[in-house]
Amino acid sequence: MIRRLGRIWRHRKTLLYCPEALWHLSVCKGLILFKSFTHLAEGLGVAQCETLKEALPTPLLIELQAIGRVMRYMPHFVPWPSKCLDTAMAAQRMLARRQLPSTLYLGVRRNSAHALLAHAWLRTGQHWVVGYQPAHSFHVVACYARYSA
Amino acid sequence: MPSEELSVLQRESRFSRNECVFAAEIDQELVMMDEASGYYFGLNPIAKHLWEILAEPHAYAELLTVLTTFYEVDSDQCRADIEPFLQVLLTHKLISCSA
Repeated sequence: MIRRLGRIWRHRKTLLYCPEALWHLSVCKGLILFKSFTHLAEGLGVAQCETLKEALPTPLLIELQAIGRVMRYMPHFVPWPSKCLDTAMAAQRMLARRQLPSTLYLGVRRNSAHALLAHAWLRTGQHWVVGYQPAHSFHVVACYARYSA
Repeated sequence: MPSEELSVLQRESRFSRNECVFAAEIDQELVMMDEASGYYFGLNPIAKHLWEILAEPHAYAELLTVLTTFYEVDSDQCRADIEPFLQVLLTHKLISCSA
């Protein structure tokens, strides 16, 4: 019980970010469903540019980790199928609100049946935020650098 | 459903590719993304070769000549193979044709 409370206390920032994450996930899902990709891409940032791969100071790193954590778990609690692109877009918006520059990558690979699979992932500085686990097997087709909200 | 064959007017046009900055090479293939639609296209090595030829504007007849010579196929077969591909590229504005 005490250990559980301790864990909740340590991850309190993650819990505090849940409503904001839910909001951004809803907005991004709506944008993907109802807007053309051209309009969507305008909000993703500067095309084919990357933000700097610099180390972040500790307070910002803590923010980043909390956002990454909330974006790993929040998609499991929303009533719609949430995929890599809306998660990456929502995380990018949360970071932009905190003036943290980030780069969203879109990549593809072939699976064993030779079908094309697409994936989206996000990086801030030297740190991967969301979608990074399968990212190493994907080839980057596009990247968008966003510097602020 | 758009016709898979090119129109007579298109067969007398020059084709050139529009700048597509969203592309990645995977093995022998080229994967491109059409930013307007968000669709991905996988180009096999032959399609990739045609895409590279279109870096410079070429007339349709020139394309047929180059491909029939390089791949040693007859022009009817070549035409049947490349016209649907050119039609898709035109639809997604990855190439343009001009007189």
